[in-house]
Amino acid sequence: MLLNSYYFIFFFIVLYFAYYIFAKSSKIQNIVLLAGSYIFYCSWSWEFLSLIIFSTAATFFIGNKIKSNEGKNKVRWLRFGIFLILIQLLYFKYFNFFIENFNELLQIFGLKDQLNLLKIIFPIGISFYSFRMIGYLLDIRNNKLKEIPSLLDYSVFVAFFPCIIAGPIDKAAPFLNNLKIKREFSSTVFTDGLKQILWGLFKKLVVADNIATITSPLFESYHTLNGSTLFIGAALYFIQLYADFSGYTDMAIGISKLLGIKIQPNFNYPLFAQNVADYWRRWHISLTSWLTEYVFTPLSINFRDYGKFGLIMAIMINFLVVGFWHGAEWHYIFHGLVSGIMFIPLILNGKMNKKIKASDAIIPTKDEIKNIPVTFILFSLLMVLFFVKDMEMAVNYYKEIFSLSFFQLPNFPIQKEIILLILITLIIEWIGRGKEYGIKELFTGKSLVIRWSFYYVLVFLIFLFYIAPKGFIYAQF
Amino acid sequence: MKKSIVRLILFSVIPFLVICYSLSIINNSTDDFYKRFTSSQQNSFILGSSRAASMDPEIIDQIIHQKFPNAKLYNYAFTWAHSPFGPKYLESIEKKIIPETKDGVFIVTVEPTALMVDRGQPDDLKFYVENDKSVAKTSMVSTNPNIEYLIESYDFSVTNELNKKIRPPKNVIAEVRILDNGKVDGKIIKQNSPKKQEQINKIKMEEFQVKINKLKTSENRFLYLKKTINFLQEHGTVILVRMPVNKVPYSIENSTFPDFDEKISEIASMERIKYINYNKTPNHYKWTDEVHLSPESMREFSKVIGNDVLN
Repeated sequence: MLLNSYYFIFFFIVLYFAYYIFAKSSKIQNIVLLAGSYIFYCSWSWEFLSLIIFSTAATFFIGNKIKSNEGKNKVRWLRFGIFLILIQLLYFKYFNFFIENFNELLQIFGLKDQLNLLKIIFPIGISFYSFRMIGYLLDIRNNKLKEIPSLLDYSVFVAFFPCIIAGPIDKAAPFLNNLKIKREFSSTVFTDGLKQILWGLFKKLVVADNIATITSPLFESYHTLNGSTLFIGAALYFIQLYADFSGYTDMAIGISKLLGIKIQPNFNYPLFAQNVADYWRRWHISLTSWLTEYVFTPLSINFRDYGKFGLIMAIMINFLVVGFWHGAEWHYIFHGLVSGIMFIPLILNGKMNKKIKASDAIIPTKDEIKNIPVTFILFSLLMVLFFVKDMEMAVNYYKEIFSLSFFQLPNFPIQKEIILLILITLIIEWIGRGKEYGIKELFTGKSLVIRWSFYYVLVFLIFLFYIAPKGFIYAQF
Repeated sequence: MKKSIVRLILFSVIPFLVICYSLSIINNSTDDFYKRFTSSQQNSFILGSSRAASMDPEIIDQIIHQKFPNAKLYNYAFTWAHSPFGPKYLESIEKKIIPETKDGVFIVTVEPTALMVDRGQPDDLKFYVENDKSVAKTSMVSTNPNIEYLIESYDFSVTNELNKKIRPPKNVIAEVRILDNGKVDGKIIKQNSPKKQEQINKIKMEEFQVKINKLKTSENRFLYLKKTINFLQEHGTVILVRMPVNKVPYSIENSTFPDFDEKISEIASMERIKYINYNKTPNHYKWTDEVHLSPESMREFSKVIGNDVLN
């Protein structure tokens, strides 16, 4: 059940009325949310509902143990909890990766015996809910979660349906605060949520899915294309991934708003980032802030005696986790490694933590004109490591981009109307970049006719450019 | 809350009207298979994959009319991935046939890939390629409008037909539509140069080789072919046909599945029906892509098959 499907609309309408009209207390609202979340999860992967229920119950029990114990026992329970979560993640997501590489190692040493790969079905959303659960246990250990929630509330936190497929990865405390009191309907939040869903739908269905009609065949036939075309393909994929993932996130946040639940943002206009650090502060924020809090900060404290080298080590490990989190493929791991390497100049110059002041003006500043395109090109090139099928494709792809054929005219048709749609989207996002999402305050204060006309344009563009339904890219992680 | 919902409903009126208008024109010119699931139940079928999907029921009907006056053929052949022989296709055929039919005609076309399954999976119904396709997902096959199909399998925007008027598709190579008798009617608009076509065909055949290498023979599918034949025999005359393809795909199929003809002949003789492999009869057919007959050749072939049903 995709968020942009008819089934979801029907499912949500039923849930929505049960949630606001029949649920008379916060507890009943949370029961409705949990039931809805499990039904939603079953529509994707009913086989693994028991896994999510078991993991929830186990980590809830361990969380209680962490809270009630002190000293070494506290740490032991924490380690046990994290071990339990990681072991299931390792089994479902990484087991065959290790076996494949172990087999290759055996071959290198001339051993013919091979370990058999297992036919493992990947439980959808496991990377997202596993990180939620680890964060929960760490927050109890670090006393960031003052009180243990009820099992019901914790179960909603783990399985909350708008976020289970592709995030955001919320932190426990702010999310659980939402569930404490009964959510009342607010017309302002309702309108705001619908607007955000509309913008998310537009980015996903009009921008991302239509760019995919260029990038998919382009990547299929990449070996026949010249360097300039391959670079355009990488840049388009960067925009596609942003539109796809941020479109999903906008829908997830919008749906949560309709339910009176505030969740963490995931994007802050990363296409307008001005350097590497700025980009990572704007891209997949819930994952990067999770890793900053639970991986990078503890590591940088441990390595603080080694100065800048220690910082580099912490960054490299952090991004290795980012790469590995995306999947058990070498190209994702290299994507993480190169992302880490891109930080090194900033660390050496002492500029890593220096926040860049972004202007709110419509006309870009000189720095923005200079920095944004450079950062965009850099991350477009990095994207190659993200979308390739394997490292062989990545090497060949880069070879062609960095060959003389880069200076030839592109030899692949690119529809002008899709470029126009991208430009319109980028302009809207540029104008609205100071706000939570692109169109949040675009026509605030204008008459109803103007506002509705604009929303109608978006709706009809969705009708006009809708193509066969495609899943969300990040749902695979 | 009431006020907000009313405003949302008011806002939705115009998009809703556009959707209604679009749905009203959807039946005139539709996507691949919508028409197949909105037409009424039928008494005679052409069955198989895309190779048979453009076989002309009208031509065959005219020829066989003298012997089978009540038979009115309907092309119910989809694609290799939609309608290989299996429980889903059989179920769909069972629903599409007029139950009282006793004197129908059924041209059942076979090819190796329609009787094979993924090599990497067990020969188990739950792993079959057609499970997520429209033939398997559409439980109501003779309903107009077919809301189930539109929701489950219609891959376009609900306003697609309207969109085509506003934004006509560019660089169209061929126009394909489904006629009232189920025939896929293709009109070639832009012809590739012979050299380019040769290159395209070469790539397609390489892909075909890769595809067929990933498949293995399925005992289950053979079982369902027999079940399909048995079911159709209760409703009339059945003829088994292997569609003519060009030399390259034929040799690929034969090298992967050398005893295919033998197995099919065995089934035909067991069920006492006629089996013709049209690759063994001399012909001058042309193909659009090595496996699908060109429109002219398909017309010619439909006459040949009509005469063979008659004799």
